[in-house]
Amino acid sequence: MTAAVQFQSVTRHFGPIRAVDGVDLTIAEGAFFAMLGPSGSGKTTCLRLISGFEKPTGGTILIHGQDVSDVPPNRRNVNTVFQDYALFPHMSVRDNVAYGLMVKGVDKRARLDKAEELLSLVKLPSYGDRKPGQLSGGQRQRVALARALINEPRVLLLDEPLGALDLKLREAMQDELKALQKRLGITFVFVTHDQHEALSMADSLAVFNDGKIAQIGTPEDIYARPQTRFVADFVGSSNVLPPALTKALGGPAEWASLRPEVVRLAPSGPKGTVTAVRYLGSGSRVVLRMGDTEIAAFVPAGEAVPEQGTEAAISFAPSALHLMGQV
Amino acid sequence: MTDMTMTNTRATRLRRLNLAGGIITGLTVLGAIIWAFPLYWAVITSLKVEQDVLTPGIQLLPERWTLDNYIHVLTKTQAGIWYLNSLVTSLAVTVIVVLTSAAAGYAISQLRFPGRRLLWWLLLASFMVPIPALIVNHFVLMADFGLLNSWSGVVLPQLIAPVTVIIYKQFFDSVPKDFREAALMDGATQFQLFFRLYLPMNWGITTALAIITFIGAWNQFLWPFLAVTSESKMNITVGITQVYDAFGVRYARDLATAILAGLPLAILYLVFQRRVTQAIMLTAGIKG
Repeated sequence: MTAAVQFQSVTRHFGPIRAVDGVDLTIAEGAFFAMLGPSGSGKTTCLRLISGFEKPTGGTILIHGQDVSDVPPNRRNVNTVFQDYALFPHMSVRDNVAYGLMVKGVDKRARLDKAEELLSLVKLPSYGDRKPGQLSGGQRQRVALARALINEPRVLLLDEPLGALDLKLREAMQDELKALQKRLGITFVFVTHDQHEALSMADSLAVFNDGKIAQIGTPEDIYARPQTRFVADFVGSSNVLPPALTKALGGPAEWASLRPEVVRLAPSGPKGTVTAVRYLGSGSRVVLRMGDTEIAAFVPAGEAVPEQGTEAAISFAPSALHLMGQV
Repeated sequence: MTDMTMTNTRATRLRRLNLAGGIITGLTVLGAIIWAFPLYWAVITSLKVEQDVLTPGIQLLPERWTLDNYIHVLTKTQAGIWYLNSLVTSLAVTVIVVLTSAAAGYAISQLRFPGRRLLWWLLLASFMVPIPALIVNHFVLMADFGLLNSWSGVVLPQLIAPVTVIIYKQFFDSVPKDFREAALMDGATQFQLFFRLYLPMNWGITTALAIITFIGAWNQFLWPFLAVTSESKMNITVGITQVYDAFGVRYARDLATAILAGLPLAILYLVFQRRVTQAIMLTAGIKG
């Protein structure tokens, strides 16, 4: 199968700043792919490179096997859902959705029918006459989706589309987006800085740092087997253990990562001083200082939580210790 | 006791505030009366019989009311033609200035082309040249083109409007680039972007600028006065001077003519008051 999007040693420099630095990437057709990373890591620039609003300084970008270096954004068969939705405020919802067909010169009746169809798809069938200003954040997000889908793109780019929504609505939209992607079968490329969002929605994801891909893989790979200290730290706030501590905890003298949720308090074992306790609802997160390193452990609800400043011992399954090839 | 003292202090402060507010309101009303009185006097005088105008003493209301002065100006002079000339030239100036300024503002704001910065600096520099300083050049140019005594001759020199271009540029700059990119991804052309996105999204400023441009063009006196000598091609502002010339000093009739000249603008202002104020504030901000 041809990849939906392929980056071959792609770079994008802005003067001395290397926003994207030698990225190789393959996004399978029909995948829900997430680009995850902190602000300034290059993920949004990669999205703009795919959409055609940025041109690579070096390397090649292929969309469905075609080199798109000289192809303008509207000929790439991709579309974007913008972070702030970019709905035209002076147009009705229906006209916003139909805009893509209007500029193509599609007959008015046909394009408005199609717009209604798309509005039904995003569960807003009776909202066509409203203006974007009369909609809630979640509704605007759906309209933006409908507008981006009306030209039937083969790749849909989503630039932190859930960032402006409150937590409850964001979770509901995550499920809806995932379901919609499965139903349509098109490739979704989703940019986010929210690791939970990326892990829960994506089929595969790339973690970006300093313009490079720090790791690429399935959510499970990224979460359970981080290859670098950055990935371990950024995705799920893992405990990153220096070689000496790894050795003290029973492993080889290598950098390792250890997920807080697999570390429990125990009557005996390696000890540390409790420096912080945070209640999480389903349990508590207890931070212990062991030498120069802080280790976070999870105490399930109902179990005794140690006081700050006291000593506590930890335990974990040896298999939970993930050794990292590099740091 | 302390509470009572505090209450008393508060009451004193409120009384002082009320007094200060009352004085300011009084002064404002007085200022408004002083400003409006000449206007009132002009309207009242234009409704008087000519002989009553020169009656000694102050008559705040006419003894004999008459519309004869208005009827005379409208029926015995070319006021109708002057109105038409003003309307045509002012509308032409408004439409062309708004369209060209919006297009220029869009180009400077959104397009990348060689000489864009130079063009921008030239526009800014054009503020330093006062329009009256160009009037001789304009006259020679229009004479060479054979456009004196024509609508085109009145209109063309009034199309120089750098302030309008700058205001449009600033407004187009503030449109988030996501809107542009969303439209471009759908295949919108520059023409579609301009007419279907940028202009409608800035409709408020377009209305405001159109009104203020129309008012400016309607009130133009110096240039139409120089460019037109034929009575049938005069604007209303120039035409009313002909009424004065033809009938000597006839205060009631002259004031009726002046009021008729300003009436369309007064109506325009009353209808679009908010937009006019907005436009004046914008242009004042640009001109510093």
